[in-house]
Amino acid sequence: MKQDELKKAPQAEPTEQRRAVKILNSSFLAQKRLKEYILQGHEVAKRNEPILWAGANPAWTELYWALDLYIAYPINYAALLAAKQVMPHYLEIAEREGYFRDLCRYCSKSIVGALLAPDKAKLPWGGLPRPTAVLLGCNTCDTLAKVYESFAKWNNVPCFIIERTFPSEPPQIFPIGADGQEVAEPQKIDQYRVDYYMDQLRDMILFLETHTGKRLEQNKLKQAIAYSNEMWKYVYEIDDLRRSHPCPMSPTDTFANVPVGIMFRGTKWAVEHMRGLRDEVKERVTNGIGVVEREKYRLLWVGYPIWFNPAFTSWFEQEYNAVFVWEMYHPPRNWGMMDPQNPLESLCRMCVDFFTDVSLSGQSFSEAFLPAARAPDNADGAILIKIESCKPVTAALKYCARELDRAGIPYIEINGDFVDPRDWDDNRMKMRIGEFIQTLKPRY
Amino acid sequence: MEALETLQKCYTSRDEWALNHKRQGGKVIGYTCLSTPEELLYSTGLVPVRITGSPDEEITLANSYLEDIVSPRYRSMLDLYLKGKYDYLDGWFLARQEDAAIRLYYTFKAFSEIRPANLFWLDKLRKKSIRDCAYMTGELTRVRDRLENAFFVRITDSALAAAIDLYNKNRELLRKVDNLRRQDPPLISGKEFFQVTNAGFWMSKKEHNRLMQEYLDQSARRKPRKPTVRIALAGSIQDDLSVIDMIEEAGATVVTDTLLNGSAYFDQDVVLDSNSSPLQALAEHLIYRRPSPVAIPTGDFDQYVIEKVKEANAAGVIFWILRWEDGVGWHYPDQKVMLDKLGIPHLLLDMQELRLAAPERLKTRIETFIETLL
Repeated sequence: MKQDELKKAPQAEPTEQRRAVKILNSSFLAQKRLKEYILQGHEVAKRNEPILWAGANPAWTELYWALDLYIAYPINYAALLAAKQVMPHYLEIAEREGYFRDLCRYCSKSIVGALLAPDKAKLPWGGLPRPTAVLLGCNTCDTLAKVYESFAKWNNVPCFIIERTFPSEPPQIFPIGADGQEVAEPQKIDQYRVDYYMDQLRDMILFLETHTGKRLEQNKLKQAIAYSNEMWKYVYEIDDLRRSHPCPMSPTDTFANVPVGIMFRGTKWAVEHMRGLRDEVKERVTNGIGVVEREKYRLLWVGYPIWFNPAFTSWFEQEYNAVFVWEMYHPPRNWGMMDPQNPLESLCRMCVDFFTDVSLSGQSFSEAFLPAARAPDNADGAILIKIESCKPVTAALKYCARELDRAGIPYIEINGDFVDPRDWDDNRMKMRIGEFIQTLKPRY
Repeated sequence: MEALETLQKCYTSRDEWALNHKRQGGKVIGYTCLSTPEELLYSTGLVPVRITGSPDEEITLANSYLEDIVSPRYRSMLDLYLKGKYDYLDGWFLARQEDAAIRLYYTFKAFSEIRPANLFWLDKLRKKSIRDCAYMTGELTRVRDRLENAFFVRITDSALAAAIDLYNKNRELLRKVDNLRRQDPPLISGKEFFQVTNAGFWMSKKEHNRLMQEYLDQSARRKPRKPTVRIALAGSIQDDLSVIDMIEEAGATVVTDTLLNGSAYFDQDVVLDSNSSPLQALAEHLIYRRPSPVAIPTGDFDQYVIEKVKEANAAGVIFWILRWEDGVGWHYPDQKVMLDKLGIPHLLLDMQELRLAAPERLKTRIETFIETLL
């Protein structure tokens, strides 16, 4: 379509005025559980029980439940700061202390700002409870070790870091079969890497037991792994249902349920929640209920959610009848194949190249959306969002663009950020994407 | 000062020695990171040379493969390679120093159409423990095997030990050159220091050692420079002398640095003893003795920086940090606090590009800072 044939994009309302449109009841339940859990941290602190601050990519969640530990996730709290529209305030506090503008902001600078803030009482949901120890479950990038060691130093508590390994042959986290679709094969990982992780894991368990006074119970760990396996099965089913026409679930619902997979997997609640979500999505598919009444465009959202504007993708649903049928946070089919009888090695094999850890090469990131991109009649276009806040994830976009070219799917790249709204022009972004959408072939 | 002129020429015309070596039938392998075990590469019979970017060449072709949030040094390296500047290399060696190295390596793996013929990767760990040393020894063994297979050579322990000796000699001479700028008043400028020491990245260490020895002999007869404002340079790797020129033209001397292509490169030798194999010795060196902003515990690097500043009795510190180089960038706030406690003034030049943006403004800021130290 020629430029002059494009319709003028509808005028967007300011970011703050719109809330994300969540359709599913499970999404509200997930958000409610998340808030309860974060608030529970303050009660745990009052009782002087141990609190661990942990990184989330990966979180060794099954292990934490088996240790009966309360975990606070700074990365999760950063998303909350953005969603509550207070991120610029805390970024500016950090910047005044020398954490200059260029530095990454997601799981790092915003929390630094929150820790340095003189007005901690104003932090959403009472802020993060003071930790007993700090754990970085994967040394993902140039930033995180310094950040987590700083968290520990400022709270005067010990820190443990699991080192990341980068093999010379990039592992295929999302194995693709001859038909271009995912196959449920176990990931192939060099044994020496697993051994190195096992050594670190043993050290980590000793660290946690020593500094929290808790003891790892093998039976609890086996149970957590069994719960985790079961939860992933529902996640895969939801992914499959997501490809239905009309698409039954929106990114805002996916994003609302992300914390379940990260923070609550390994629990009975997570299993029941995901089963409930699956049932809800299945019912919509059975009844032919979609995110929008008539899908005009089906899109892929390649990048993190815009945490400070959760309604962003909803706007395109409402204005263009454009639905997003894929976004981040979908595990590969080989996930959840842990062996409860061999829990530690199983955990290691899952976490060595965890699917949400984009540090590896970006390759996993581009592989992740391939099945959705290649599924017949599934996607008409893709939005690639380049973000400054997290360099590893943005570094992956070149691979993604190449795969989209190969799949013949048009795409647009937009520059922005997902936690820092200071350089974000909401209207301009919506105009650009809106114009792109109108270049795609409509379904009616 | 014939040796100085040769070294300065080599610093400026970085490919010349390697191209001449190739014409004589020699082989050359390029490396991008200063956590490269050059000794291992040298013991294959190839001469390791450092791959750098250039502020003089606008980055164009690399934009198709690396996002612009990757360190400009690495984007420039790839760009020059895509434009044919590094066609003479017989291999590329990348090691995990900073994230950008990982990005470049995996970009080569993903885009086979631009992949160099002989591409090697070293998974250098950042933690410091016996476990990490053991992993590193295993990783170096795997890399050694790959080098042997690629170049049809056998790397013996004795060849590796000889390479370690040669490189330790190089470090010893580099430290002597370092002393010339650190003395008070300095005997040489910071600019000359970088020219003389960094020239060794682009020639064989044997040749570099010979030239440095000659240079040191001749320098003994030199008169000290005028008393000067003593500056420590910190932050990103400096492969271009523009910033150092600005500092020294403003009446100061860069008497020390904490850069990976400066002091951190030669501060400590590889310790080879009867208790460990040469590969183990290299592993221990990389894990324990090579200062790095991304090493864990991260506080070690902050301490290293402060010690260097104190040792050199620097009057001020200038941090020059390239865009997107978070490894060094995240250290600045802690180092700032430590320097404030010591009462040592500092200047932050952050978010810099390889090609200096607004050099006049930068020059004014540097001049103003140095004036406050007079």
